[in-house]
Parts: sequence; C-alpha cells; structure tokens
Amino acid sequence: MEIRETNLALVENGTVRGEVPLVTGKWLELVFTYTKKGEVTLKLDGSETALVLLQRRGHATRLDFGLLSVPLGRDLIFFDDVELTY
Amino acid sequence: MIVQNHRSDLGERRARVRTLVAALPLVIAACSTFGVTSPDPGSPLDADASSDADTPSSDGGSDTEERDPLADADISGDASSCAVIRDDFEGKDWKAEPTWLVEQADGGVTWGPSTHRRAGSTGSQSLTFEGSSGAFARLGRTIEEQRCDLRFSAWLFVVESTGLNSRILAVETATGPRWPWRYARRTSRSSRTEP
Repeated sequence: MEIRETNLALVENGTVRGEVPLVTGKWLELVFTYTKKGEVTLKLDGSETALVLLQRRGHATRLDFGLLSVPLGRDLIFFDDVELTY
Repeated sequence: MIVQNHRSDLGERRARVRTLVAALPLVIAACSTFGVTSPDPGSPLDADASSDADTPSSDGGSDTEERDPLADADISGDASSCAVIRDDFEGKDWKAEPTWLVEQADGGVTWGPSTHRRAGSTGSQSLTFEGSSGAFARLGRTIEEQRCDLRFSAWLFVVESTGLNSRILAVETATGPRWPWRYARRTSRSSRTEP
C-alpha cells in the first residue's frame, strides 16, 4: 500500500490495482483485508472500497506498517489503535 | 493355491478399505482447517462491519489473544482460532517489542503524545513515523500461520507526504519473492535487507 499523490493505492508488482482518496491533516480509519481467496480490500474513512483480486495467491507470512520507504522528500505519519487479525 | 492367493488379496483389499474409512474423518478435518471445503460466507466488502464491536484493550498497550473466528462476521470460520493483536500504544511503559518487530534507520519511529489528538480517542499516545529518502521506520509482525482472513485496521494521520510512492503497509506471502508488495521474502530478521 502506497501513498500516490492524493490517493492511497494498492500496488502489486509496481502496478496500481486500486486506490481510494487520501486526505492529509486528518485522522482516517484505515481497514485493509487480505482473504485466503486472494482478495484484497482497502477502505479509508468510509470511502469506497478498493477491491482487488490478486493475480497470484498465497498465505500471508508477515505484515509491516509504518514508513517502509520514502523515495523522495520527507514524510510524517501517525498510527494509532492498530488491530491485526490473521 | 490360487484360491488361497485370491483370499489373501481380498483380505488385503478389505484391510486397505478399512484403513481408508478410518482415516476419512482426519482428511475431512484437514481440509476444513485449510479452508479447502466451503467458500467464505462473508464478503470482504463487509469486512469492517464488526469492527465497532471490538473492545479495545482496557489496560492500554498491546494485547494479543486467540479469538473464536465464528464470533465475528468478517472472518469466515473454521474450527481454529484467529490470532488477534490490538495495540493502542497507551500505557506509560509501552514498548514495541515483543508485540512488534522494530526496524528503523536514520528516520525514525517515535512513541509519545500525539500532536494531533483524535476526537473520540480515549488515549493520548500514538506512533509517529518519520522518514525521508533512504530512511525508513516500521513495525512488523511475523505470521506463523494464517488461520483466518487477514485484517489490519488502524487510525492513520498523514501530516506530511510528498505523495511519491511512499509505502506504508506491506504484506509478504509464501508463494514467491517480491509479491504482492514488492518485498523480497526474508527468512530471518538478521538477514533482511531493504529493497
């Protein structure tokens, strides 16, 4: 999942598979799911859900969140009240 | 002699059939455990429908538990339990580990009072991730076994972003390298390298 301009995007192998609008300067409720069937959903603050059926499937082995990479410039984000179910 | 052999073969076949019949419940149980049988009844579009019903950790900090998946509409059921980790980052002694694996370089992850208080939040602490080109900070979790549909929910506040492909969430899977989120599969913490 990447911040791409003014959107939050689901990215698979460098290709944007779905995206939802991202508003800065405001707390947003983020929900990400990855089903055993290979379906990925992304919902941000009640926005329309981006639904993606991945081209390849497999069970999850690790999840990371934070600022995993920042190609250019500087980013600053907050996370709170995290819940992970698997 | 022929008759004896025939009887012997017949006996062996019956023994094999009995063995298969005896093993059948185990086979069915194994299929159910790995989700081979019935499709998930819940739509992923409704995956967050039950999130409001979840009770945050009462004592602050992180909370790891085993939960019955059938209790939640968003997690389709097998007989095993889902792993659930909640963390509101509260508590004066909060530490990332051992709930999360921590990695950072130059940039940073800091924990402390949020400079942007969230309306309705009972706590005052949050995690701050700050990064720039070549720097990163993240928390991670190794998933020993994905028993249920994976679901990650959080409150996110983007203070500042260049909007240039900054990655904030990644899921690794077991099917191959650099999929689905362009991460190389890593076998141990010590051997990991950032792409």
